[in-house]
Amino acid sequence: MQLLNMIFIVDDDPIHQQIANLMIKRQGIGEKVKAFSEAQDALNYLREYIYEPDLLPDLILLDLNMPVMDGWDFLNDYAGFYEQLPKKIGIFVLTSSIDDSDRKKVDDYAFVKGYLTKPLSSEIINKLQAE
Amino acid sequence: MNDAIINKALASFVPALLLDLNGNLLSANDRARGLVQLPGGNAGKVHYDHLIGERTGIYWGALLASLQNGFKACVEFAGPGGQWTVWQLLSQDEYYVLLGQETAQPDKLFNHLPLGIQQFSVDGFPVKSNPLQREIWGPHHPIFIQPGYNILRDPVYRQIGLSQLFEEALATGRAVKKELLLRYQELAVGEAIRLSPCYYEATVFPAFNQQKEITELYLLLQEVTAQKLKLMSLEKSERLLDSVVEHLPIGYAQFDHHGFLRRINQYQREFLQVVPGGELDTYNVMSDPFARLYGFNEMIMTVISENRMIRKEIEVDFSLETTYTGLSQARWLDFTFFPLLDPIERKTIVVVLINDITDRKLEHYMRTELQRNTEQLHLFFDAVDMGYATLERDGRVNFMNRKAAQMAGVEIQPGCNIFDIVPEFRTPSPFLDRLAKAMKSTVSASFSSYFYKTDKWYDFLVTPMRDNTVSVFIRDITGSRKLQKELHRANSQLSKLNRNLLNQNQQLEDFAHITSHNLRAPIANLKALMQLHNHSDEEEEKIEYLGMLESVINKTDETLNDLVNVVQIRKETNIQQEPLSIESRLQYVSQVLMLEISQSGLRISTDLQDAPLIRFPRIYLDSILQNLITNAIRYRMPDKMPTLHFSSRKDNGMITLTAEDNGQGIDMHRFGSKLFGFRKTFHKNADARGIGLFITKTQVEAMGGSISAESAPGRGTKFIITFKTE
Repeated sequence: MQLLNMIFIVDDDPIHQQIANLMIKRQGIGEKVKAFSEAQDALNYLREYIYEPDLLPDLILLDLNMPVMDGWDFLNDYAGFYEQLPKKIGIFVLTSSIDDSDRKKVDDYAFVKGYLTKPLSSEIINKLQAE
Repeated sequence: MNDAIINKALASFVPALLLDLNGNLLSANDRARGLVQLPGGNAGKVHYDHLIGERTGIYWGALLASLQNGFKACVEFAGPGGQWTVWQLLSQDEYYVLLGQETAQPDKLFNHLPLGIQQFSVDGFPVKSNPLQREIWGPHHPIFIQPGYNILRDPVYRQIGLSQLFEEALATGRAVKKELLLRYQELAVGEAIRLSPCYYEATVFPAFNQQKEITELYLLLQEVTAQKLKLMSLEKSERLLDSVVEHLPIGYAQFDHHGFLRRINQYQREFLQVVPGGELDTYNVMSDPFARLYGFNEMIMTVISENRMIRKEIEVDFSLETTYTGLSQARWLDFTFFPLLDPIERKTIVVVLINDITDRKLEHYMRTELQRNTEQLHLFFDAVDMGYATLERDGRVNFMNRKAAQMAGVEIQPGCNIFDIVPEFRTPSPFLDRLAKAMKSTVSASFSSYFYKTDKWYDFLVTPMRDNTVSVFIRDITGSRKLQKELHRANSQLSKLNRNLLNQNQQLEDFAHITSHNLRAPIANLKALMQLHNHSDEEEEKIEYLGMLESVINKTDETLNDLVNVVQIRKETNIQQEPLSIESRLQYVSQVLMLEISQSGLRISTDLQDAPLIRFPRIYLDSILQNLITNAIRYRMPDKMPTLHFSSRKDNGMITLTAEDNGQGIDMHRFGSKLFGFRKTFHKNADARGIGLFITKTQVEAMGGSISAESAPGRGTKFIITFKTE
């Protein structure tokens, strides 16, 4: 199993950030985990290191319901530049929403690999590894 | 010899008058003076006409004419003692003498004949006339005053044929007579003078001597004016009657007692379109099969035998008869047969008056049909459940059905005026104005009116008709009006309910969304932490997880409390409302937030004069104002003195409160749809929980109001809250 170089957790909930970090570490799927409470910060990072593939994440776990900029705003912005990225980044929506409309809306973004509902469990992490 | 006689006479034995050649008296002897009643003394300047002519009617001209024509010129009259004297005119060289000779009463018959009589010589010269004749001619007739007058040569009498009578009598030796218009008489009719003709029967007969020779001619004149005028009038009447019959505007036919047609007037001939050569002259009603078909022969017989009138209306089909008439169509005729006695033949004749009444019959038929239709129509209109009336433009009733009379509430007879009779129509009202206007209009008008006394709604349709009357249709719409009102009310309630349901549904959806995002997140965390805790063998780790668990539980509790608050607000739609002064509530909230306000330096200004009061739950208004002030402080520009301006105004029955700050503003393009969402924050402010505007919105909407915002980054935010005033 290939170890992912870097995983981004984009979520305003600090508890969830901690949990996710622990889970990822415990499952041993990623070497580095970076957590962003503001989606805008995550976008800024991606733009800043757009030509440095080693510094870019392999996986982004994106929450939807966030203040100031939510997950949808992130996706809209990301859609504008992701093709310029030097490597493919797997984006998974990881949300507490079990709203069907959210699930369907995610389908509009082709670059999103999947829709996952919280809590992040070992099963989900296994699934992520498989993907 | 004459001279000797005259001389002797003048000597006074024989009455004698001496006249000059013009008839003026020169002298008279005593004897003559007595007989002509000449006053004594000088006899000069007295004329014969004055002395004798006027008395006898034989004037100087006539007397002299006789003498000059070789006749014996005599004149007779009675003296004062009744003694008759005959005076003969004798001619001397330079004068004339009248010699008198007493005589017995001469020609008593001649003078007293009740006819005018005048003697003429055979060659037409007048000899003598009786007084009546003189009266007929008049004193100034040429026969008396024109010397040498001859009736045979008188142009006037030749023209009217009198002169010719003399010639005929002379030629035939027999008496001849003729009616003549001899003269005109002047009659005073009022102030006008009318000339009236005088008719005479003139008879001229000859007188013979012993040798059977005609010696003289006599003219008898008898006035026949009255008879003549009567006759003329009669003739005129006959002619008139004849003309009347001929030109009667109805048919006239006359049959003799054998049934032969004796007369048919122009009208009837034209009506029958008499066939040329149809030999109407020989037509006999008794033998004509066509006449017999309708029983005319029997009717003629009955009229004659029973001597009475028969009148009958018969439809005669002239297409069955082609010999005498070209009419060839059926006509309704009114026949009047009546008997008349022919004054000459003394036989009964039958007069038939024929009047074409086809049009009248048709009209009668049409009228009967029309009346029947009208009655049926009235029956129909009485049966319909709608008021109907036909009126004159001024309001007089031609017809009103039962329903309309019931609606009016009074008995209305045709001819009555609704504006006089119906109580509601006597006092001015908008309804009356509309009705009066509609009744004068040339186009249909409809309107509804409510009648307070009877609690009724009526729908009126007023339609002008071709005959300048108006038809009024009245429908009782009270039921439908009430139903409509009920329906409207029910609809309104339903609409309100629907709005509430939609609102509640929306709230439910919002709540589901909130639950999904905001409640599930901590639960998910709890679940994850529990999993981590359970799978951990390290006690230290477990303690760390439990610490995190507590934090999650506190967060969950906080979220739940917020949600309970919201649910509470939404549930309490019947929360007590009271009239609140916005200004005073603002002062109160400012007191509560005094510390924050003073620390931030926020300056609050107001313009609340237009709508100073609102009716609202006090606790909500305080909460709303607190949120608006807190937001203005929390999201102020760091380099700018914060301000917040409240203003209120009334608009379309709503009160609008605006709160405008000069803070950081919000990117409405990005965040507009989430501005009032649960736990939504748009600034990186540590104090922001994203609950204030959500609560404010919930409170405003729970009371039927609304909230919106206008904002842009760096340009402040304006919140607009609309309160329902009811």
